[in-house]
Amino acid sequence: MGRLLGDPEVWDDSPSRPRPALRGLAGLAIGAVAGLLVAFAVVARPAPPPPEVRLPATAEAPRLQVERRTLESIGIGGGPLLLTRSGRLEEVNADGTDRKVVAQNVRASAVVGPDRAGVLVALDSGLISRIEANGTTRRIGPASFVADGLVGTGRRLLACPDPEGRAVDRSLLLDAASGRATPVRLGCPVAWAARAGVFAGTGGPWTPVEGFLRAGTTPKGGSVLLGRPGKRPRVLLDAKALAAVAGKGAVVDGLALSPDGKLVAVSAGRPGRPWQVLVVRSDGRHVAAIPLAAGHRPAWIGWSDRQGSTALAVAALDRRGDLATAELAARRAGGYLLAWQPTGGTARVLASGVPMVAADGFAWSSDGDSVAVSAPGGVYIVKQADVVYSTASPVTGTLLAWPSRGAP
Amino acid sequence: MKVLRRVDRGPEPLVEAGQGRRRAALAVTVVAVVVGLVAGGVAGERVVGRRQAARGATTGAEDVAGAGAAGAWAGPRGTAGPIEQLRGAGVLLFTDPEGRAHARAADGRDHRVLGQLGELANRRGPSAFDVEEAASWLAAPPDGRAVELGTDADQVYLRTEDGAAAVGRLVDGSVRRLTPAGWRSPMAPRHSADGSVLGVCGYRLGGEALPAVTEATSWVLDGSGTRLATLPGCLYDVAADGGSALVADPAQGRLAGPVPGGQFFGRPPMGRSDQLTRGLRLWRRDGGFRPVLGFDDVVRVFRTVQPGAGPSGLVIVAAVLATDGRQALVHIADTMAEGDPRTGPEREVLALVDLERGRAEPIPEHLPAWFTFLPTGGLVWTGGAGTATYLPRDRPPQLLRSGIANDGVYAVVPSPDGAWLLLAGATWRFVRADDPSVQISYPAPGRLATWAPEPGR
Repeated sequence: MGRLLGDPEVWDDSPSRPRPALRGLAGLAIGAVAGLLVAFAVVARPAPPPPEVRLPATAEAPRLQVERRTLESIGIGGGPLLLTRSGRLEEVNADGTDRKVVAQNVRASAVVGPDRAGVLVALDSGLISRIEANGTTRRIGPASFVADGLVGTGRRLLACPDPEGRAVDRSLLLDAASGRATPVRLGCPVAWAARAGVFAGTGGPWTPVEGFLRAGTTPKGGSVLLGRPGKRPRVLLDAKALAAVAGKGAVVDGLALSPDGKLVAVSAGRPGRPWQVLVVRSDGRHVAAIPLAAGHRPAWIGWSDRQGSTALAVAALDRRGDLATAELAARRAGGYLLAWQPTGGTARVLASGVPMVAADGFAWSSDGDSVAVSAPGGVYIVKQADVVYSTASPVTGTLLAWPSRGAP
Repeated sequence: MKVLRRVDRGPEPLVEAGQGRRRAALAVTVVAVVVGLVAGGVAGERVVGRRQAARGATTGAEDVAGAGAAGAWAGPRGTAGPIEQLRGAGVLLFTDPEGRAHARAADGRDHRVLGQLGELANRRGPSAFDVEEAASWLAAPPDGRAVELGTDADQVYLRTEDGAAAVGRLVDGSVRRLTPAGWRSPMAPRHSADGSVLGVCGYRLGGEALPAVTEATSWVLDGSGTRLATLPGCLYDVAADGGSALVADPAQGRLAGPVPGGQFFGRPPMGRSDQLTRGLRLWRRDGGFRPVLGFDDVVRVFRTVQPGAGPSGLVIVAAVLATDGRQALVHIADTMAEGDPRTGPEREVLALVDLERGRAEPIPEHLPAWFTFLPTGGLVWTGGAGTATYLPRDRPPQLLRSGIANDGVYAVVPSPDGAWLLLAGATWRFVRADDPSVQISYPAPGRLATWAPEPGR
């Protein structure tokens, strides 16, 4: 007969041994666990000790992020920016790509071109140089001529003279290909209409004016002349008319011709007094006066070349006190960029404040859609159609022009 | 094999054998459990305390990032930047959608609830849609804060849902309307730094065909609500010391003539009004007025950004006084401008007015929005291109931040000492005024009302 597993062999009903030590240990353990749980549940969370704060010796500066989100959406004019940087003339796309050295050892302050063949003309320390597509340079114009301004389109150039020790109104019309020069009686500043073959320049009376250079005076003209190559320039705005609009003693500090040559913008005023930009039709009729903020002087004025419509950009910089004679790139103060529409006479602020601090270059895009301002920190681009689409371009250098690719 | 005997039951003994040992075992067990409970409780308490200290939490349910490995305060959850630099920078007073007012140190510590006010519940920022279109040309607040709290963390300056300027008190939940019955106010009351002087702009709408502001009157009151002055036209700001207030100059209104009404593109029609502000004067508590901005200057300043603007539609819609009372920032708008404000003609301009010399100069900026002075004398403003610009005294402008439209910024508020600027939006971004590259941010715990000094400072 088999046995069931676990079947006790015998029964013992005697009480178990008390074992106080064993029970005590078990009770202690159970008590400890229970106490721990109760403590976790009911003990109030104490306040932490005051933290010890150690201030860093220098600020840990997270650099301000530049908004680049809309750079791609900006119409970049189809061409690269032309800049001068570290003694080189360079071209680079607005988004910083395709940087290319156009010419070495050129400190350009103004350029005309490039044309379809890639040839451009640069004003370099008073000398006018033709720069071929392969980067070779050739000086054009008389050896004795030192220029202070250069404008033009294609082969036709107008260079105005550096007034230091020379006649202030002996400009030259130059052929960019042959270098042939024709004198024309007007002085700096000068302007050229991109599509009309019309130029404008400054006429007398010439007066030495303080407040432009740190030491000494600068001869400034008091009238505006308009002309065409091969014809004698005529007076568009004489000294009397200029004084009537811009105040007694007003001088001309900047000129811009609309692409069709029908409108002339004149920045007029005198250091220490209010400046304004006058817009005059080519027949001499006054169109508008754009007053500038107190202490501000136009650094650049320029017309956009947009099919069907144009806009005038006025870049006004704060020139109060010591800022009056400061180099552009060294100037530490604000300014603003205003776009004025001849149709309707309305205006809009395209940029102001920080982008204008130390601004040293300015250009419209070739399609007239965007405007760029350079400063030592970079290039600021504003799409004219919507100033909300503004951005900083990762490009450095002093902006000279923003032509289309293969401009005529 | 081991055999175990079944014990035969006999009579119960009087004292069971081994009972003493069993009682001792029971006592030992009970004592052990009690000792264990005590020991476990002590150990548990210590463990809990140590964990808390390590976490560095202070505010119970507050969102905190806690302390770093070295024990340094890391700020509220989501903090970016050197939060320790905000220590001692003041106390931020803010509200939540439930109508509670809170206080918290700028570095995120020491959060406390100040009180609750029904009027604070579900407050949105002021908007042009909150007031009638015609009245929005009379006055607008210089920033988008829904309410302002006094530095005593008790007084609340607000505009009630039905459009009355009012002062509430957190301590007893009371709200006192400051405009008479039938009058509305385009913004919350303006006040001196200590709240002892209040200024209220009130208006009434009328008009035959189109709604127009037919009456505009301001009241200057002391802290108890007693009227110190009743002035024609709108009041825009009260000086920090309570000694003066910036108010409309009716003489300039007469000079400029009524603002024409009409139907303009993209906004409701507005009737003709001779109550809108064309110039400013300074009301002085010790008696008299002083003209500070004439209509000629308003036109001159506006024409620097809009050369062809006609004068008839130009009005002053906002103005704030500098802490020292020597300058004012004035917001000028053209009621007759048409077109898309983003891409159309410039329709607004900020002007900095030297109150001593009465000279105004423009601050050109596309679509200026919020603006304020710093206690140190600089000024800050935001623009339509999504930038916040700080102009220190006698130094070039500095970019505080770009792309602020994405941050939902509704106010730029300086710290009490002027060392920091707070761009208040969905995120609170603190920017050091002397070095804007130093920025600290964390998610906004509520809607900002005031940046008050540390208690005792």
